[in-house]
Amino acid sequence: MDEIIQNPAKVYETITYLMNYVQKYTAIISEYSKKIPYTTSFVKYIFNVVMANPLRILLEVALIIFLIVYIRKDRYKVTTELRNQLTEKEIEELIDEWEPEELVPDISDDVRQLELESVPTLKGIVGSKSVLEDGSTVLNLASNNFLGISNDKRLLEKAIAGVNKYGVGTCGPPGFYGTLDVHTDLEKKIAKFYGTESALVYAQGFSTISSVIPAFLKRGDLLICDELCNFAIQKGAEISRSNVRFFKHNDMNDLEELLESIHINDKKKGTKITRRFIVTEAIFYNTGELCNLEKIIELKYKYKYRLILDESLSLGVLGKTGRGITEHLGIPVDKIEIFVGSLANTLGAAGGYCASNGEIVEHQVLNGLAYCFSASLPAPLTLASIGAFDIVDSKEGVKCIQQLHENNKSFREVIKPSKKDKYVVYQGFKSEDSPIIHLSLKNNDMPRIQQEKLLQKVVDEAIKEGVLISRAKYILAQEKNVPRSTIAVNLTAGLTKEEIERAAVVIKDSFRKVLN
Amino acid sequence: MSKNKSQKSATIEDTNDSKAEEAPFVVLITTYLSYLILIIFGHIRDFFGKIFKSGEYAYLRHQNGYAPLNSDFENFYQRRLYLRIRDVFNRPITNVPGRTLTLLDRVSHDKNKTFQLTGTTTEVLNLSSYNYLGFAQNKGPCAEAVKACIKKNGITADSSRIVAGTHEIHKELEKTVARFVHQEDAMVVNMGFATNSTTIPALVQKGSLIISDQLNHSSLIFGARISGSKIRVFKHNDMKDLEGVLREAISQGQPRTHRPWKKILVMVEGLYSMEGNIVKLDKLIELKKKYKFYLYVDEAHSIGALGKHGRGVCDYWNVDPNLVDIHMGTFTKSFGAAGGYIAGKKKIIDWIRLNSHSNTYAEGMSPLVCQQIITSFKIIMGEDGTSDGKKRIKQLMDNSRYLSSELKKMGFIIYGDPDSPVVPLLLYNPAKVSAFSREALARKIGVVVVGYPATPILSSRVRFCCSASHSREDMEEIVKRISEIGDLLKLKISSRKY
Repeated sequence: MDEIIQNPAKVYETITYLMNYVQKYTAIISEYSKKIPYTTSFVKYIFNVVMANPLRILLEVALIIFLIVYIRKDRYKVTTELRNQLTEKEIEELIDEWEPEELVPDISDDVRQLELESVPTLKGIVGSKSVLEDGSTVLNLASNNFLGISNDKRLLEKAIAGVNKYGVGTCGPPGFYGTLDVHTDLEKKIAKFYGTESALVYAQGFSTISSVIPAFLKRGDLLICDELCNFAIQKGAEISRSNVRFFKHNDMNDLEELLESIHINDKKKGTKITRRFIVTEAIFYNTGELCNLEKIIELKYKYKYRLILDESLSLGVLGKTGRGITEHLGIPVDKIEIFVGSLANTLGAAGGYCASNGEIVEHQVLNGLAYCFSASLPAPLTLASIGAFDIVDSKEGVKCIQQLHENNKSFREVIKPSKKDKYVVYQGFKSEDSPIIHLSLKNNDMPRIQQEKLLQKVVDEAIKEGVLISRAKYILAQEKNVPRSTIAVNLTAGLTKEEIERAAVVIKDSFRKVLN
Repeated sequence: MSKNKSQKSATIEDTNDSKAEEAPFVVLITTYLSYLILIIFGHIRDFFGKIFKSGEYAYLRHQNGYAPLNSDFENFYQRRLYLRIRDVFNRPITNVPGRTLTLLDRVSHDKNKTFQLTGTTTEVLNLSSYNYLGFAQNKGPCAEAVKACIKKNGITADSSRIVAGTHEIHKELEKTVARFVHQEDAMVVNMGFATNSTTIPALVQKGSLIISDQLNHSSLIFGARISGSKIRVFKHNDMKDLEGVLREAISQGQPRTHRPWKKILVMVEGLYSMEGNIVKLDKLIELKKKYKFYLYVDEAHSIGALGKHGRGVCDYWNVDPNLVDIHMGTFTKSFGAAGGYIAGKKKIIDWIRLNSHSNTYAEGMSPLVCQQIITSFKIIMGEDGTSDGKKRIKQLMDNSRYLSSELKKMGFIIYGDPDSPVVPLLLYNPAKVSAFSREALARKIGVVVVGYPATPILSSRVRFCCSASHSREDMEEIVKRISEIGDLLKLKISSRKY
């Protein structure tokens, strides 16, 4: 190419060479085109159009060329403007000078003590009564073992049978020979238990909803979210890149205002309808209260949203037979599009599930990232989940649930602070139905770390007295709205009324000892 | 050992050979044409379907003011391409995914929309599970230890690790992992995907830069995206391109403000599971010295499967493990278990314990899974007093090399490193994706086929995963059957001579 530019004679040569080619091929083309009917009249038509108004045609062609040039130029301009033009030497200098921050910051002694060293270690079989590392037995009110059936002998037997037949790992994602017959069985079981068409099992409870949300919500879609929703929902919303709007925690008026304002705004702008979802939890991880599902469903129908409901903590807990918040409030299951929950809490196995109609479940087989790209749940745990469902779905399960609610009542009765107590019991929407009780300091003005330290002292004191409880733990730097510092007590049906009352007394006394 | 070394250095020098072979021109043209035909027919069917069978397409339309869950465009691939060959994916199995797979036979009477189990089973040789060291077993020391563990420690520790779900066995496992990868400390998570996706946000935030290999696994991308840091991508395993990206990033600083980056984290995988390529760790370490970035190596597929002692890519390249900042790996593959680990300096791991989403919010690892991993680690390290572990590692290496070299000799186009236990065989044409899988099934081999969009549109492939559970006789039989399929589907198209 350079050679041609330098030598004008060559330019002429090349042009004649090219012209020869053009002439040759026009001749061939016109020869052939004569054989195709209507070609001559078409060429004539074009010729006439051009001749009739040559200026206009010229202008239009010029405009098109301008448009192409403009679009291309604009794109390049943006990138060049932002770059610094540097010489090789300058780049080398900059690279030599650059010193990155430490990969992770230092952990202060306070935090190390509070968050790492204070975590208890259990041994042997964990249950409503657990053994600590030092050999002491404690009443366990820190685990989510609501019905007291985790590590039940029957479940252990199921797991052993699972190892005997399937080994432990599935050695592959569900798409690539990682779907065992027991996974299908469990999925059918879940669907039947809920009364939905279909269900899908994920390998970790936490990752389930943060994978379900982005499977359905993409850029441009709208997600309405309670501002105190659990961390997994927050992350799912974030990764979906959809438009996320928050309403005040469990505040139905605020939700209605938000939906109304979006509705009005849509009407004004004539926005195209996109996928719209409301997401909330049946029992809130962060506060332990229930969501106002009846009102949400009313609003969801009024403004045409779909609903994703996280039942991680309510499955097997709410409702007479443990079918969750829908049974508890007497709401038909088909009013809710997507149920998501955990097999690790009440059921005491591992993994998560999504129960819904066939189309929604099938969609996740390819689009649920944590389903599609992760190994499936180990067979022994899958079999244990099936066993746990069997227990919940039996007369024994109903009894356990009754026991849990009785325990709940007696615990709340005893823990109620008297005037001299310096702690409060969190009261929210239908809190009394939930087996999770958040206790916080009356004095909320202290800095957070100090509150946490005091609460940890209470926890340590209670453990010394044989009751295992824990502060509610959050990743402070990443939570959207950090809830108050609390101790979260998880009740269980695995303890008798007397034991629960004794635990409540111990906790109460621990508070008094530390605070008074 | 000397043989091992000479082979290794050969792969470094002979970069041309490790470069993927281009497909012949005819194959390229027919592949594009195939997709074109599939797409045109898809649209024609859609066009008439929407007119004459509008009920079946209702889910793609707005209904009573609700937007459809699937957009028509996004769903096109699934509806028109995937559905045709859906029978080769998600095949259900029963029993252990070990040397063989027991498939549950199924049929479809409505063109793959639904499947019905016939009640019969087919046993096929397993070239698809990530059972590299053959620890997927329901008998033997692992299974016995696991059953004893269930009786002693149960199946769950019941709550998240940092709340009250830390069990003795977790600590034992973490110590074992740290010892195995020669690091100060380690943390385990009960799901491999989540090990990446919930840990990366603890390490990098706004103001940091992640430089990620083009072909990194979905979980790494997930984690990178929720971390809030900027992400740049470099060409797959191309250290020159990475250097270019690094120079550009460090010299230009953050976009718009040109502030220097707080830190740069380079994320790579030890062994790429779709390509069979081993990361060029030696060159990466050289770059790290100059450009001062932090290095995150995902050893999901390489831990246990690579290196003389099975300790992953550091072992393979003879690189000091302390030069890698974050070691991540999974237990799903080589150890026949589930979950993953993060290992590194104690300070880093403690920070991750506090800030990883899984450690705070997700259920801890099940004790039975912990036991499976501990026992298999002990076998690999020879601490059980036998040479079983060594034998497994050697058997895997022999099988992998045998398979890839035999297939190459036959004229198949094979990607990846000769030492890789993952052996991808290129199919190109979309019709061959399903054909290969069905033919393999007819010849009693279970294989994984992957096509667009999991791979680039041109390079649909079948991926073989070697395993120590296969004997040489098994491998010979497998090669023989693959050769038959290759003749049938005209797949021996390589122009290289081996």
